[in-house]
Amino acid sequence: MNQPHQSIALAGVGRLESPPTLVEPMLVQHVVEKLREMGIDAQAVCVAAHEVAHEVVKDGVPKRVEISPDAQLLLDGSHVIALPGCGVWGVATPKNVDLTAALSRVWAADAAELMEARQALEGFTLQMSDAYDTIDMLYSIGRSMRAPDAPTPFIKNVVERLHSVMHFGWVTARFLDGARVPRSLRNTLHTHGNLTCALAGEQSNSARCNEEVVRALDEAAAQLGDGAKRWQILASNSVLSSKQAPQVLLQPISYEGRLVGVIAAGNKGGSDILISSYDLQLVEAAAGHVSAFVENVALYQAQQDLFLGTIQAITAAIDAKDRYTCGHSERVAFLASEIARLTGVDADSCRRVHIAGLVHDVGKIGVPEAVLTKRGRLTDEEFGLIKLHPTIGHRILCGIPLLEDVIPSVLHHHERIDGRGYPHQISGDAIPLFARLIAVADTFDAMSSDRSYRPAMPRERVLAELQRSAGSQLDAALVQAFMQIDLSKYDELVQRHAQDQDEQLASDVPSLKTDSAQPATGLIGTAEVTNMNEEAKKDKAA
Amino acid sequence: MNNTNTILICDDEAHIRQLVAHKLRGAGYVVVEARDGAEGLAAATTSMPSLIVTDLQMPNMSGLEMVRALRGQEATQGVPVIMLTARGYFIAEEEAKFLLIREIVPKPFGLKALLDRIRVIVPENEGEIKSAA
Repeated sequence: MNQPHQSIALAGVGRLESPPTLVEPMLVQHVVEKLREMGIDAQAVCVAAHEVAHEVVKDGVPKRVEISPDAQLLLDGSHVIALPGCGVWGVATPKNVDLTAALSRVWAADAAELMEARQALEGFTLQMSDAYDTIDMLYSIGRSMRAPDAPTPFIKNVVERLHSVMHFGWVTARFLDGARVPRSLRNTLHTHGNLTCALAGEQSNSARCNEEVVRALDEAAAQLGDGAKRWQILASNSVLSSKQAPQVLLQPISYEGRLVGVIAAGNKGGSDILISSYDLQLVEAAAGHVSAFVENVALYQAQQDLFLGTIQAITAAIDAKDRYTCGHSERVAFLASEIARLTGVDADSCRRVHIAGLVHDVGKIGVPEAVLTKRGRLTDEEFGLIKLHPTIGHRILCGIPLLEDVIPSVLHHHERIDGRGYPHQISGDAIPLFARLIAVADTFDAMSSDRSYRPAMPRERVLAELQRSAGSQLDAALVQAFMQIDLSKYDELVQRHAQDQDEQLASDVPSLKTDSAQPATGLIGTAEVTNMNEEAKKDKAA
Repeated sequence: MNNTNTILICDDEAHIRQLVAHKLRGAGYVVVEARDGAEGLAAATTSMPSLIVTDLQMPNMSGLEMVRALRGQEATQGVPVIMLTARGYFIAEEEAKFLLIREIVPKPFGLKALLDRIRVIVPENEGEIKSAA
């Protein structure tokens, strides 16, 4: 029922030029609801501040209401009352204009306060959820920094997390091609999101698009130059910019003062397409983590290089001492790690087995060359010297902490399952797994190699011998696993080593004569000594 | 003469304004709040604060426009300003210097760090601190 004295039109005047902000209509609506609770039919209209007149629907008929600067106005019997700070409302001939006006002002003030509180709460909530995501992202990055042996998953994680936390259409990490960049990251691009380049018709993340992107990023990076620490915002870039949001954020990644890559982000979406300091600080923090990570990776790789270099040096030293068994260490390393793999040993341990194989004979360095290179059978005394090589090897390596897990297998690779090996005569599972693995590989390679006093045994006979020694000399389960190895790779190794050996002998022979008291001729491979008594007897008998 | 203990905080985001105001009141300052540049200009003129902490992007009148207007009137031309902003890169260094903008603090900022910077510009009233202790 629209009785004239109860009909009220409310006009909230927005503080903004246009359009009025959301707060004011809500505020006026609040007052309208309060009036309706009192049984007064009210309606709300929101007008912009610059409007001096507005149509108010009163009693179902549009009427023009003039609003004066002091917001006090009468039109057609309507009272217009200013509400503090935000607007005016009109009262059409109510009986109690003054009371209604006073009440409305109180309600409006309450509503304004309420709305501000609500607005603040929304702001806090939004910021807190953003902060939560950011903290979570930084935690996640921090956690994944612990794996310097896997740089690619780390970078992928950083890019993905940045993309999910920020409002950019794409985030990418580009690593330059330079000696300072860790090998596995060199010349790589890791993109998350849709990086559509400006090439017409090119799909995002296609090979050709990536090429363009890499070129554009490298150009931009070159302009940043070495020593660049701070972000840069490209106002627009012919390849990287989108039409809607042309800004591109470029954050250098440095290591030892040199630029190694950039994190870039673009095509920002959401309500605010301009790059903000929130974005800048976040990307800067992420880049700080990435820089620290790159340093870790570089240090880790340097350490690995040094380690592998040491192993290579050791292997080379063994080969130099006993060159007729050239490649033996590498073949044993290959076979032992293959058996390990086939018996379900994890990949990391398999790599350690490989290293153990490479260094297992290092003790030969400490055995007189005259004994090592002696043709024919050894005397008991000479054999006693040969038998020292596991202990000597153990002593040589025991100062290298990085080989801690490998050293026991060097000491025990001539132990036998039945306890009749050396140096400690331990048996069964008391012999370390690595040592048992090497023993099988060592025996196989010794029997498969040519010796001065006999040619290599045929493959079938070697395998039969292996199976015969399973359970007495060798670990039966490992021998069984050995039978499954694809030996074609082993044969390739043998061929390669034979070539190497020929070349080496051809070039070394003159110096060999002066270096060595005794010309190196037929040898008894140390590996064969494992079961040398039986083996040699058999050979002589045959 | 400026009211030595009064700081004007001007930001259209209610939560930022309330957060800063709360921190400053806790530190013993008198705080005047404004929701945009226009309100800020009016409040600065009437309350004569010792420092204005203002947002850059606001409706009606931006922080930068407000500061320019403040520098144009004699009473407020020397009031130091700290600008809180998500777009610090919009303000040229020379202009900031020219407008006596003492600091441009990027959002998000740490409240304690902000308070420390404010304390340098407006040392708290020592008498009040003693009586509070």
